Amino acid sequence: MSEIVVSMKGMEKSFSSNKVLFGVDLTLHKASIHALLGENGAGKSTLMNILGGVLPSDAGQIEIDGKPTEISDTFAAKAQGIGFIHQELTLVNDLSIFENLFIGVEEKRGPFLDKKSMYEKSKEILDRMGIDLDPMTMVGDLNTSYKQVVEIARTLMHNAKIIIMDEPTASLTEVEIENVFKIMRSLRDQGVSLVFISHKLNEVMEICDRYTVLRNGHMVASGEVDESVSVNVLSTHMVGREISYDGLYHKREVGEVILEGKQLEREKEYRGASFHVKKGEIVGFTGLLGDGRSELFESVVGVNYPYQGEVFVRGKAVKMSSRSKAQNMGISYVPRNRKENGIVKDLSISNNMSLSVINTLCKWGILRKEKETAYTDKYIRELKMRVHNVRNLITSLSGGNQQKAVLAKALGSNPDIVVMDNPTQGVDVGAKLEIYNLVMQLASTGVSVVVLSSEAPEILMLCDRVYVMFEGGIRAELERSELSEQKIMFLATGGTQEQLNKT
Amino acid sequence: MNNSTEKSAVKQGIFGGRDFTKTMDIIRRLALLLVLFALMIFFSTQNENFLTLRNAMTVLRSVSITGVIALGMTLVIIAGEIDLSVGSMVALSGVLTAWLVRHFMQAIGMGDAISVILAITITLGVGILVGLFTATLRNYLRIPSFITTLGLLTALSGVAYLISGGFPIITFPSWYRYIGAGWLFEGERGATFPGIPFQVIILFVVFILLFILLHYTRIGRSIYAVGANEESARLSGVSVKLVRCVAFGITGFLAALSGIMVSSQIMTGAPAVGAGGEMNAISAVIIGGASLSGGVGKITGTLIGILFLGVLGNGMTMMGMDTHWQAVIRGALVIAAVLFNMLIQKRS
Repeated sequence: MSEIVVSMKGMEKSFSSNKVLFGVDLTLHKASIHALLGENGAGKSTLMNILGGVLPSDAGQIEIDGKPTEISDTFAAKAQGIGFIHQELTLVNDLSIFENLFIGVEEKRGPFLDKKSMYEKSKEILDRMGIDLDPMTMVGDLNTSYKQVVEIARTLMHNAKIIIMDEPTASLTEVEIENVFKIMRSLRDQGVSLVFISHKLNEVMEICDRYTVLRNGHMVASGEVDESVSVNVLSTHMVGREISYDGLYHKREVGEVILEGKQLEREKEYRGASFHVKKGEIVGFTGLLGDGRSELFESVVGVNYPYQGEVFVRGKAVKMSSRSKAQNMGISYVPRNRKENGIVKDLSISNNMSLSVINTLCKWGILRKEKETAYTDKYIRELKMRVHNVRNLITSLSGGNQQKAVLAKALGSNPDIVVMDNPTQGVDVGAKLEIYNLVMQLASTGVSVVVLSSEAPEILMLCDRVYVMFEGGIRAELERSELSEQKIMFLATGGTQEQLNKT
Repeated sequence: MNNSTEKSAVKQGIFGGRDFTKTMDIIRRLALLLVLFALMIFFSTQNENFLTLRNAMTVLRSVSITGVIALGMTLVIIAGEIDLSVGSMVALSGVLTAWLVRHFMQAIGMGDAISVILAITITLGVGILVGLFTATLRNYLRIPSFITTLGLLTALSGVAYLISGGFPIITFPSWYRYIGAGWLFEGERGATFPGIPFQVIILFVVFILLFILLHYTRIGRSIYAVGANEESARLSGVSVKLVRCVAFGITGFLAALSGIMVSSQIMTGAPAVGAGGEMNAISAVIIGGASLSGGVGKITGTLIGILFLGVLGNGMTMMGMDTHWQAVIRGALVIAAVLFNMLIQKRS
């Protein structure tokens, strides 16, 4: 067994009366990638914030290289060789890579910046990581995975031997994730210890050597990632009960065609897209990032206008020129990227939930608060949301509950068609299952659901029929009986249905 | 499903039974009131005439003109925009009303009542149009409202001088004074109850209407949503363009109204009045707890902010403080208020 770099023992932390860590232990080994797992609110971030010097602990001991250590602030953490990469990237887009790497630690010659030296040192680090990037490149021109890589490089600048990464892959595509993983592996081989926080258990299985699972502030499992460990084992630890998606899908009667797109086209986004959705049907649209499915359905719900081609609702052609027009046709929309598009962070939970349906809560143009309360209470119950007080800010909720609030907003208008773009993004395993159940339940009451997702398991689990998209065009249409992850992958990467039929 | 467990699940939530955001919000709003009371107690110890109904009315009267503008500005700021043109709008509105009244009475020969009513209607309409102009440039050409209204700040003032030729226009019929300087239930000279100044009534009517608009209508809720997160609001079916039109339209209307009140007070249309009015209005809104980045703010907060500035000015004047020192203190106060709000928000 390799030597131990960090050992945290009996860590405790409370926020006023709310205890979030109950004597948690964590051991990090040299040259390993350690997965830190748990549902939202399990205490992962708090634990890492303590290690990173962002928060003080109430009790517990931290040893680094066997020596008891006080980490009083982020500078002390840096001095101990701990690098922290937060979920939200902290780079300045309008500066170049090397300028970003040296923010706060600029090198000077006399009163002026020593750009040459900084440039060369940056180049050195990027070379060490095996990345072919010019340090002069503006960060704004990089794609997200390279930005992530620059963040990693920044921690290496401070000679970090422990790097904490909080959900680094959350907003990356498959290819980009591979990039980041490559770097992570090469760092491990150079002796760096990495902490990897992620909700994507497949990734954990792929890249991590060890794991620790937290649940409600307690450490519930820890060990090596070996043959005995599987995605199922990990998710059971995380949730505390076995999560089973068996029996989720059931066959339903589907009705007439209710929504139809004919030769829809918008420059550089999607083209020649024809599809139909029947009453009570769950239809999936999948593909890789940039396949145009989001833009296509933004047009269908009225927020991406003008477009060519025609959208038919119940057989009638409708120009979807505004969101409210589509709403009046009974089309609801759950946008992707909850933080940017779904929630309004300065508004309360109830104000967020009622935002789309406020018209129906008014009498003579004046908002009736009792109607609003009844409305929010109803959806909090139906969606099993964990809410303390609906007047609190929406940001006081966990990711899963925020997403449910966004769903409530979409369901409140009693829609006939719901378009959900990436409905389980950043949602933990338990809430995910609840959202899937909700989709099924909606469909069995005759609501048509369009699910846009690049997660193949999600599509396989839910959908009656699937359209696979590639570079703005619909590649294929698959019935549930012909669905498989391999087929979807083959079509989504540019394969054709004819090729598929041949093999 | 069991009804009682549902309820407890809703009630208990994640904070273990205490409602921090709400408590902190109440504390913050009360805190500003408490400071206001402290200020009043302090001034009353300095001058025995401070805490009289008559002086209270004087304070209210002194703030009502800025107040009407500040209440409108609250909408614009919550919507995440700014309107720097209101001060110049005040000047333009007074001059325009005066010019129109003179035109109607002298050139066309209309009666004084109909002339004034017509002139006021047209002026208020112009106020709305100026607001809509800013909103339109923001909506369709994406020109920040800061830029448009900065331009209007200069341009409208120029128009006011052009119309008046640089001189005050003195044409109003004597009863016109009532709007800006009249009293309701006016008491005897020296009575404890002096009556209520008409402009204070205007201030409170505007306050009540905007309070209802902001908290009890769809458009009010939409103003918050657009200011806090335009994209989420748009995707939720809120008409962002309409929201901006309403916010700027109302603010333009109220600035014009405020200009009419001023012109009535001084019985002239003077192109030099109102200068700097935008900054006083913005100060009141900020002291009231609104955020310049949008989405946050309360109409009651602004009202308290207005009273705060009024009490402070009145008290300092009664103490015989130098006006330049007053300006320094008022300025420092704006900064202190923002700091104070930030500290309290941080704790929650």
